[in-house]
Amino acid sequence: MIEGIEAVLVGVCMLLLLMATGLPVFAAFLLINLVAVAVIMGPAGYGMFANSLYETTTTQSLVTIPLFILMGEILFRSNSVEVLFRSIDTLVGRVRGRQYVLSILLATVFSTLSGAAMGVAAMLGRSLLPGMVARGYDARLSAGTILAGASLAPLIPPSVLAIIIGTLAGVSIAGLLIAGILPGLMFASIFLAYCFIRTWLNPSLAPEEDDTDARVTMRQKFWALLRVVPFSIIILSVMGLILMGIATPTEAGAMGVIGSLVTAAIYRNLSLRMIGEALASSAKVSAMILIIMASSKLFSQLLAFTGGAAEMTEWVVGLDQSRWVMLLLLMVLPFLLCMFIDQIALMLIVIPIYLPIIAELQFDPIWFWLLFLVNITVGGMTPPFGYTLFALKSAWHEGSLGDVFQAAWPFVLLYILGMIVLALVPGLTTILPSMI
Amino acid sequence: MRRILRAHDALTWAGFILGVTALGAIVAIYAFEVISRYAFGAPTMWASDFVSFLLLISVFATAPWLTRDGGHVAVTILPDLLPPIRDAMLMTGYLVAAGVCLWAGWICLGENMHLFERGTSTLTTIRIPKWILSAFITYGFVNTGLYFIRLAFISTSTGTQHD
Repeated sequence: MIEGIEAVLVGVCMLLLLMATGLPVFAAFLLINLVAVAVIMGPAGYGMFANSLYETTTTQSLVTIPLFILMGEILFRSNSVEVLFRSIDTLVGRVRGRQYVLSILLATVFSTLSGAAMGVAAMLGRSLLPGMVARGYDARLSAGTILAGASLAPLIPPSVLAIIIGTLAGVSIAGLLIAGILPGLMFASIFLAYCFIRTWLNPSLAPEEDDTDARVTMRQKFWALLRVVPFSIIILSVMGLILMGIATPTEAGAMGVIGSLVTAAIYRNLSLRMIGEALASSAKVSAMILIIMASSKLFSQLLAFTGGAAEMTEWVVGLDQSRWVMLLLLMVLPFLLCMFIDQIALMLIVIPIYLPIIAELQFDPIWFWLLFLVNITVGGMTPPFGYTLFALKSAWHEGSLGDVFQAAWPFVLLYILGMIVLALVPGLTTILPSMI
Repeated sequence: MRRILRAHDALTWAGFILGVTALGAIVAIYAFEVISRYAFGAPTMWASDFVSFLLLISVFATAPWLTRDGGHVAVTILPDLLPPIRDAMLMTGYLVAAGVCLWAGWICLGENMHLFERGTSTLTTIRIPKWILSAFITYGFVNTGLYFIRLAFISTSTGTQHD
């Protein structure tokens, strides 16, 4: 029987190979786990397999996943986000390159309402991008702002990926969710600064005449501000309750769903049909995520059972490199893998292997896992296989996949720059969690 | 044969509706719990247990319908790089997925019977026979396996969300 690092390498390579053949991700995990259990333990291990499925799908913290998904579904399906869209458009006012600003701000605000980058990219790709291109804005820079802004969704709460990382890594989920707020705002500021610099250096990237469309009165601005007030109910329900330590992330998720129903009702878009559709869609997306998690749970237990995780830790720590080199190595692997495989699958493979290494290296767990979260999020918008790229392409019929790829690269580099800042200034990620 | 397939779809649709209802119930229970705890200072004893049970039911009751809709995530790098054998690879993938789901279902069925015979209850504040919950896992895998078989022979292009 193979053991130790060999077992880890064989397991991971087989898993990646099976996934690459087009086998559904959960089935690939199931196959590897069942074969490994049969070989290592025989039928006596089947009870352990059945128990791993039961344990995962009855985990309290994972209830937050369908709740956050449902919250976003209700807001998007009830067209409540349209109100937000129009109000922010009014509030942005007159600035050179205002559509770029609008795109980044909208994506950032939508990220506080939805945890899925693909959803935000597809929505803005359909609604905002054609108008930007028609007005003479640079298509690639426009698409880039949408990709980058949408990729903030997994970072700013509510974030499904943060819950998965928190559950797998045993880190405070509330802490990890809250830790994403400041970095999310920092990234949005970096993207805004980048657009201002680009349009300042090359004014042809943003048409001057567009400014005339943006003349709005103070009265209009006041009404625009008033119209977005109901959204504060949701943001308060989710982030406020967690930040104040009043509710757990799961309870906050449930209150976020109630908040989104109230918001939809305020905008007179609440209907039983819409609620039914939102529930059905959320149930399917949640089942898709959770069945992968349930099928993979045994993988981490097998890593420990074969001694692979312990030997891997010994080997990595034995490399005797500085903390920064170790951090770089630990970040490069998921960044590269994320271009090719599903983010959730990647987390399920990598986190159990990383856990003992992180403990040995004594990295702050919130700081490290937030960097990891940013990293895999960027992987989702990095050519050639990032999820978010395809979500935008499917919504942007005029642009080629090549255009989407070229639009993404500058913002991928900006994300890497931001990650370096986060690595060097841990306070940006740890200050808010330390307050709860 | 069509009648059998329609009956299969109807059963799976009923399961899906149960999964959707379970998700709705999770929201209602947690909203009740938060209001009850923070507004009236009277937390319930049962809310968190029931929510956990409902999550399991929602996942495994929905999974077969998800398979029917082609909702599972798959990374189709190799099939996309090899167009001449793409369909054959995907079909093989569905059959392998069917085999592994039925295998998992078989194991879970054995576990259900074991739990039933022993009269094992859940380790929660509100105790219920564990086999009731684990039966949903068996249903989820067996029925998902059957849909993968159907996908393999009906279509090789709509069974999964491809990256």
